[in-house]
Formats: sequence, structure tokens, C-alpha cells
Amino acid sequence: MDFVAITSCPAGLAHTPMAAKALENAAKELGLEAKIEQQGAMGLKNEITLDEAKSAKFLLIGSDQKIEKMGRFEGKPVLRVDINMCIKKPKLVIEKCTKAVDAKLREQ
Amino acid sequence: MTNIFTRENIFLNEDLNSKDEVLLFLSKKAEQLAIVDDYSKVYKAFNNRELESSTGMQDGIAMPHALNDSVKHASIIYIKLKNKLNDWDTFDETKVNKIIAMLVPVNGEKEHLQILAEFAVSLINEEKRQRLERCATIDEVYNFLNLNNVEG
Repeated sequence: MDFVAITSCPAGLAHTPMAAKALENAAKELGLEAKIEQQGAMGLKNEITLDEAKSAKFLLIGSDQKIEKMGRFEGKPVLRVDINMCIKKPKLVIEKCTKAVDAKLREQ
Repeated sequence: MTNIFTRENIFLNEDLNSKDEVLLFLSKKAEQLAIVDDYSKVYKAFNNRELESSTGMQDGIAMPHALNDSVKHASIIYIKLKNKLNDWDTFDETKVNKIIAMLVPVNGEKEHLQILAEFAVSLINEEKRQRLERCATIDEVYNFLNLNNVEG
């Protein structure tokens, strides 16, 4: 898995599913394998499993909200991004995050 | 989208000049349409949501929403303004002239939340947003928003 992502917004009605869909579409266009979880009004949707979390290179959080079940991602690089940016420029967000994580991994 | 969105929920060519006027208009219409018990409660809920972060999106569209126990059934109200607003932040810097408001009861049915979610998702498609701008009559808006209720 190239990355996993979680989207969440104050009411969890509009921005959460919009950002999730935008990231999903962008990942597909970039040829990346990704799973996007929504933490919104309907609870956890498309929940990331522990195995998926472990196999992902990084976790992208499109939110300024408190995220549930962060224990799954222990030891993973986590990047927080403004949810509006995820809707507006999803490809750019993914590319930037991937680059940042790659650079970090090279340093180690 | 039965119930959630009817022709009575569409308002075109409205002369409202600020975000606050729009939110008050929406709240009062919601009470008249028997979507909510008490307009002042949803007015507050709309405002509280805006305080967290602006619901202005792209291409002049804002999607304010109120999740409140005064809401009786999940509904969408659409307003197209006569002019453009200067005080509703969007993330592409466009000025808001199209408002798609969502009213949601507390403990609303998942099915309805799903419809609202799919509806919001469909608007990430740029071509669809531009088509909405071109809808000039109540029938055009009604048909567009109903057909639009399919993921694109």
C-alpha cells in the first residue's frame, strides 16, 4: 500500500466524504494504491485495518480534528493537511506528502 | 431524494447581501417549509459551523450545514443569489452566489446521511459545478440536483 489517509471535519457531512473521494480519485490517477477512511457523521467508513496500516508507507490526515484509533499507525510517518487542500488540490497534496516521506526515509 | 429536496426548497434570484443574511433566510425558510421546529436554533447551528471553518467551496458554491435537534427531517435547500457575496471565504477565492444548505437531524437515518454525502461528493466534479451555475429555472435546478445524486 502506498499510503493510507483519514479525512474528518467538524460535522462530518460534506467535507469529509468530498476530501475522501478527491484523494481516492487522485491516487488512482497517480497510479498509487491507497485506502481512504472517513471519520464523519456516519462513524468510521472504509475503516483501515491494522494490516493495511502496517503495510502503508505513511498516513495522510486531511483534518484539524481529533482522529480516532491512532494506535493502528504507531511508528508510521503522519502528515496533517488542511482538508480544503485535499478537496482543492488532491494530487498536489499526495505528491508533496510522498516526497516529504521519501526524503525523510532517505535521511534515516 | 424524495423529501430531502423538493421544488419548494429552491430559491432563485434572491437579493441577499451577506453570509448572515443568507443563513437567516435559510433558517426562516426551513421553518416555513416545516423542516425545522425553531428557526433560531438552526440559525445558531449554521453559525457555529461557520465559526469552525467557512463552508465556502469552489466556483462560487457554499455548503453551509446545520446538525441540530430542531431539524425534523434531512433536507437540502438551494439558493442562487442575484449578486455575489464578499464575506464568505471559499478555497478558490471565488465569491459565493450559489448556496446548497444541508439540514440534518441529530440521530438522522444513515441512508439520508449517505445521500447528502454522495451529493457533496458529486460536486468535486468541476464540470458539474459549472453546469449548476448555468441552471436558470427551478426545474433545471431540480432536475440537475436530483440527477446529480449519483456519484460521478
